[in-house]
Amino acid sequence: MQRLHSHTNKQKGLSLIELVVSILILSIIVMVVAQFVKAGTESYRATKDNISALSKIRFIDERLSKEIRRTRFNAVYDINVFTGTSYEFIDIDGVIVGYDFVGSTLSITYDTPAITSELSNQLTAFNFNYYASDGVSTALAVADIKFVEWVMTLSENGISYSLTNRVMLRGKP
Amino acid sequence: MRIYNTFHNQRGVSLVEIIIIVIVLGMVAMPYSNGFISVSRSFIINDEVLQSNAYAQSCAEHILYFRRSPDTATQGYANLAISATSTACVAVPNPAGLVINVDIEGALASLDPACATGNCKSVTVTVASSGQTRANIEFLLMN
Repeated sequence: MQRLHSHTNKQKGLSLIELVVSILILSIIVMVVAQFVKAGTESYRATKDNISALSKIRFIDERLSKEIRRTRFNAVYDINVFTGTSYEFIDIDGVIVGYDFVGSTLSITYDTPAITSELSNQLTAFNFNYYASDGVSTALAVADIKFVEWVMTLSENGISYSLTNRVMLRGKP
Repeated sequence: MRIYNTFHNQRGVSLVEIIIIVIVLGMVAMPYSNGFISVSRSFIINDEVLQSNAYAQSCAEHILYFRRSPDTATQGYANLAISATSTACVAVPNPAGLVINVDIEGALASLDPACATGNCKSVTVTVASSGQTRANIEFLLMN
């Protein structure tokens, strides 16, 4: 009994200082690891938002490019409305197509069949510009319009992409 | 007693050893940090590619208009000058940081059988950023 007691008594435990130092070292290591985990999570979120924003702005750009090129030419181009926020025209199939930007929403409207749909509601800026044949002078009348340009900025969770593009109006006989 | 000695002789890890291990691990992990940097860089490249494609497309639209223009005295196919550094797209607004080059070559029968008669011009629009090509559009114009 005496021998067992001595044996137990000689075992060394951890002092309070050792314990505190260990906790401090562990805390530092955990903090470093946490930074990596945080960076990874933020990177994933940023990648997701970037891909999403890029896809959306490309979709809008392609849609505008394809449709506006189809503006019908009939002595002059069949353009009903051409302002900074709206562009309405008759396409080569005789369908009236209109783009309108209100607030942060760009919508597209067809008359046949009657459909209005949102292209995006995440645009922080959108503007149409119209140019004459030199590509520089602003077209003030329908007869002068040869190029239609759009300038837009799309934002998603703080990530913004801006794009400027223009098309030449086709449909000329 | 023997059990006690065995226990007593076990050595732990000193603070200095832990610090050395952390430093060594840090050095090993350094190359992998480039992965995070390249992810951030890819976002910038995505933006450049997007804008470069739009810029090149706008330029191509201008050249197509020039080709189809009814003003054949100053525009049209005949007036589209052959040049490795054509100024055909000076009217298109230049997005910051992007450099455009328009190369117009003529009579390239080797490019397309349709050009065998020489009534053909090849247009190459290249947009670069920081010396790196971000967009490239090639098309043929027939007379």
